[in-house]
Amino acid sequence: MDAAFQQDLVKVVPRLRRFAYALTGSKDAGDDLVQSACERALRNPAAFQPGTRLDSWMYRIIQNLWLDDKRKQKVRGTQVDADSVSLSDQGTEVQRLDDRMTLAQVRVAVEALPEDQKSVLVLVAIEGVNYREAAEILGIPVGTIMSRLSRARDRLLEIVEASAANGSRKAG
Amino acid sequence: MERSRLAAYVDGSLEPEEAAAVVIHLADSPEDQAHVERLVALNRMLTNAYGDPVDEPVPQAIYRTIFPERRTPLPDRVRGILAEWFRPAPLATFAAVAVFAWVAIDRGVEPTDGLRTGIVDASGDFYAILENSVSGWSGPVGNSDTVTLIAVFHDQTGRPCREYELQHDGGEVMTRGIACRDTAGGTAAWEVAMTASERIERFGDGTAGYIPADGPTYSAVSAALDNLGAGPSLTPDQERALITGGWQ
Repeated sequence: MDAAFQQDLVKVVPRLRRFAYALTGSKDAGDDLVQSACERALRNPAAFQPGTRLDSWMYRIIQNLWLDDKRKQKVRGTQVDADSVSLSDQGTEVQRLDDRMTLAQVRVAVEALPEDQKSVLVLVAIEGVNYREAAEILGIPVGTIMSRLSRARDRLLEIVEASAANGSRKAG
Repeated sequence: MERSRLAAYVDGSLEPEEAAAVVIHLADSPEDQAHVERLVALNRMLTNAYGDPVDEPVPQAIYRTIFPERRTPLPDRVRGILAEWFRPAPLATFAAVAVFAWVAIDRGVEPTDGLRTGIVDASGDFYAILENSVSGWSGPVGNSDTVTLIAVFHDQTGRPCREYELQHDGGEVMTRGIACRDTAGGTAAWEVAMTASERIERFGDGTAGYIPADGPTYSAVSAALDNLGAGPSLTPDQERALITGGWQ
């Protein structure tokens, strides 16, 4: 096996895990997804085009696997595990309880987004992928990226700002 | 200005001249400026909400999927190393050894001498020992401590790392540590990634106790190796070649 490819792959794993975590709403499910994606990539590393971005290729594999999985379990409905609403950012910059509650609400709100909006939002807003790259990864036009992103953000802003307003009322 | 253009500006998806035009526009449009700030805050919030994996080590299951050839079970490996090391150790007092352990988790700002985590002072003798000596080497370091090098391995990012032991505080405390060599930025630096210490209490007859291979620091070292995604220990020949080759 190509050692350089393995080294490059392991370097992007933290970002792949974040992407998968945001898609699935669960760290464990996200890690399973990343592991499956790595297995798939390593079975056919020649499918990766040298000179292109490995992370973009892996995002696409993860996205496809996730959608396959969602199709298989479509009747199950959305679920958010305890991990996704845990206060897991303890010790980082976000320490106030209100903020952490808001983060938990954000995770729940992201989980409730339609799949197509969620993929775009996670790639652009969390992974920092630009519209053109996101369009290539997801195989859709840039205009669709922008419209899905706009709808997802409108929904999230509504929730976050309603939460902030409630917090202000309680504080007052 | 169109909301989609403002969003594209926040998301870094505009060409430089387009972004410059937005910046100029925002200076005269408090309403759009407020909207941009909302989007920036939302992006930050989303990143915070899912940011944990970026700061965590690669889970073993994923690591072993990527590097199936490094499937050596770490606990067995650690047990082997420790068993090897403790074979010649004096086991005078088996019965009553009171041990306590702690694991250093702080990252000191002062250069470390190997007893706590942090960057090793490049001008000190501990650094020279890490850089130049082979595993099995044992000798003085600092004022009255004794360091023994145990093994060299590569972590999941390919950095060479060394396991070592330091006997200090008059021989009453044994600290095990792992230091990894980083060359980010073009300058080599040894950084102590973890330490765990056990106090060995002496007894009535003054004989020295011993540290069991399955004691508290065993678990700490084992967990740290797991987190680092440690590969197999290098053979003596591999280790010598690495050291003489300047760790390349």
